Amino acid sequence: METVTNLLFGFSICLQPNNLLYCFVGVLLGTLVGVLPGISSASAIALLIPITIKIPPESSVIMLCGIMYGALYGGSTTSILVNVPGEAASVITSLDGYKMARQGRAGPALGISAMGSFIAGTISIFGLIFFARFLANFALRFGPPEYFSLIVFSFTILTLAMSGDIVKGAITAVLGVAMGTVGLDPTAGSHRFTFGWPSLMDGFGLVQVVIGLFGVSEVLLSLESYVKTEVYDKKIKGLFPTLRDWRDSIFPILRGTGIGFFMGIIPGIGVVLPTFLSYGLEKKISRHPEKFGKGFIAGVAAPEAANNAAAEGALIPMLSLGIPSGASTAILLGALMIYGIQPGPLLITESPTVFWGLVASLYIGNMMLLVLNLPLIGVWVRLLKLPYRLLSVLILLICLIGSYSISYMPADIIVMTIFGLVGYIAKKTDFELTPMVFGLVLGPMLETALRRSLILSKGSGTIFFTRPISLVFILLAMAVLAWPLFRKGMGKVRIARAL
Amino acid sequence: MRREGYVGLFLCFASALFCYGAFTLGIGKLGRPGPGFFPLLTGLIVGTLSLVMIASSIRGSTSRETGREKLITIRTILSLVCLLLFGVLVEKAGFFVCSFLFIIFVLRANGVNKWPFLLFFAAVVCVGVFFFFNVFLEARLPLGILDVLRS
Repeated sequence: METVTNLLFGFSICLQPNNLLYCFVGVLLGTLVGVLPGISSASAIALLIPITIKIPPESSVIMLCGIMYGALYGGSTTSILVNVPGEAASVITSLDGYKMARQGRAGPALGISAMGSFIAGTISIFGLIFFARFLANFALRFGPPEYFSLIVFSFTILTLAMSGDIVKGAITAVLGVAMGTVGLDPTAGSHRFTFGWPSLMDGFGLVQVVIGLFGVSEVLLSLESYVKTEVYDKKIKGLFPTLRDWRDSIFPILRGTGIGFFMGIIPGIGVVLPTFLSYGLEKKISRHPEKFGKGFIAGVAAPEAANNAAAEGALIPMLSLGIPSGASTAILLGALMIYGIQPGPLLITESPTVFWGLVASLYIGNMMLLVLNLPLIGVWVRLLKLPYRLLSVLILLICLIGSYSISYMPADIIVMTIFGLVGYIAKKTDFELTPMVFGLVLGPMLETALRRSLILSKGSGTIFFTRPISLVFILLAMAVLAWPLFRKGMGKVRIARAL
Repeated sequence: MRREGYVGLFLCFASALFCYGAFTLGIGKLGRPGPGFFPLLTGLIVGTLSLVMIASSIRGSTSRETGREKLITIRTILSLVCLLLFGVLVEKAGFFVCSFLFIIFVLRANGVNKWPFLLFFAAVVCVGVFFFFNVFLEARLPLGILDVLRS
C-alpha cells in the first residue's frame, strides 16, 4: 500500500506541467542523439548539465534520464533504417532490423522495437521500485570496507564487460581513478596536482572530461572516417506488427526484459552486454535458429527489450548504492552530486521527490516515446540525410558552449580539448573510455573508503577479508578476474581432448 | 614494438612522474595514510599494467601489423587547434567572432570550399546559437569586441 501511495506521489510530481515538459525535452533530445552518429547519450547528458543547474533537481533528473533511454529508441531507428547503430546498445538490432527494412518490413521492425522497449520499460519500473528499496535497506549495513570492496568488484566487472583487452580496460579505469585524485584531498584538505591552476582546484570537471572524451573525440573520428550511408528512402508503412509478429516476439520481449533488467542491476555491466546475451539466447532456444540474421522479428524484439530494461535496471545500483553501471549513469551520478543530492541508501527517504518523481517519469517518458517516435520516424530519416560535416561543426560548437558555460572559464575549453585528444587517441588504440569516466566519478569514493578502512583497522588490510559482506565482494571480484583464465584453460583442455 | 607498446611507454613514464608527485605530497603510514598514499597506489598500478602492455606488445611484434591507419591526421590536428584557439580567444574576441571563425575554419579543414555558403552558414549558426543560449537558456556568452556595439 505504501508503495502505491509513493508511486502516486511520484506521478503527482512528474505530471506537473514543467516536469512533463522537461521529460518531453529529455526523451526528444535523447532520440535525437540516438539517431545522430557521432554523439552519445553520455556526452548529451554532460552537455545539458550546465543548463539544468538552474532548475529543480527532480526536473533535471527527469530530463537527463529521458535522454538516456530516449537515446536507445533513437539508436534502434538508425540501426534498422541505415544499418548504422546510433548507440552501441543497438548494434545487435541491426542484424535482423536492417534485413527486415531491406525486405520492405521496416515498419513492423520499428514498431516492435518501440513497443518491445515500452513493455520492457514498464515491467522494469516495478522491478526498480522493489529492488531499489531492498538494496537501499541492505546497503545501510555498509561501512567503508564494504564500499571499497563493492567499488573494486564494480571495476572488475566493468573492465571485463567493456573491453576485449582486460589490461587496457584496467589501465583506463585506474587512470580515471588517478585523475580523481587531482584537486582537494578529501581527508586532509590539501591541494594535489593542481600546479597552481585555479580551474584544477576542484579537480577535473566531469562535464568537460566527458564532453571531451565522448563528444569531441567521436566527432573528430566520425569526420575522419564518415562514409555517406544509404538511408532507407521508401515510405514506411504498417508500423503495427501483425498477430504473427506478436506471436514471434512476445516471449523474446519478456525474456529480454528479464535478462536486461537483472544484468542491468549488476554494477558495471551496462546496457550493451545484455542485448548480445538476449539475442544469443533467443537464437539458441528458437525452433528456427536459421531465421536469425535474415530479418527475423524476434531478433529485433529481444535485444530492444533487453537494452531498455537494462537501462532502467542500471538505475538501481546508482540510486540505492551510489554505484553507476556505465558512462551515462556515471554522469547522472555526477549530476546528482552537483545538485547537492547524495545517491545511496538514504536517497529514497531523504529525497523522495527525486526518487519517486524519476520512477514515475520512466513510465511517462516511455509512453511519450511510443506516442511520439513512431510518427516522427520520417523526421529522423530526413535528419540523417543532412551532410554530416555541417552537423559535426554544430555538435563541436555546442560542446564548446557546454563546457564553457559550467563556470565561464576559458581553461575549461582547454581541458575539454585535451580530453578530446585523449579520447581520440584512446579510441584509435582500442582503449575503452567508459572505465575512465567510471574511475573519475568513483575515484574519490574509493579513496575515502580505503583510507577510512585503513584508519579503522589501524593499517591492517585484513579488514576487507574479515567482514562478511566485504569478503563476498572481494571473492566475487577475484572470480570475475579468474573467469577469462578459466575459460582459456577449459578451451585448451577441449582442444587437447579433441586431438 | 606495436603501437600499444609506445602508448605503454608513455604511460609508464607518466606514472613514474605521478608517483614522484605523490611521494612529495606525503605518503603517511598504513594506519594513517597521507594525501599522497592513494595517488602513489594508483600510479604504481598504472605503471605495472603499462609494463605488462609493453611486454605483450614486444611479444606480439613478430606478427606485423598491416594496413595500419595514421594515429592522427592533419585534419584532426587543425580541428583541435581551432578548439584550443576558441578557448584562448573567447573572452577577448567574444563568442560571435570566435564561433564565426571556428565554423569557417573547421568546415574548410574538412573540405567545404564554397565561400558564400560557408559565410552564410556560419552567420546563421552563430546568431541562432547565441540567441538560443543567451536569450532562451539565459547563459552569459561573452560579446567581446562586439560589446562596444551594445554600449
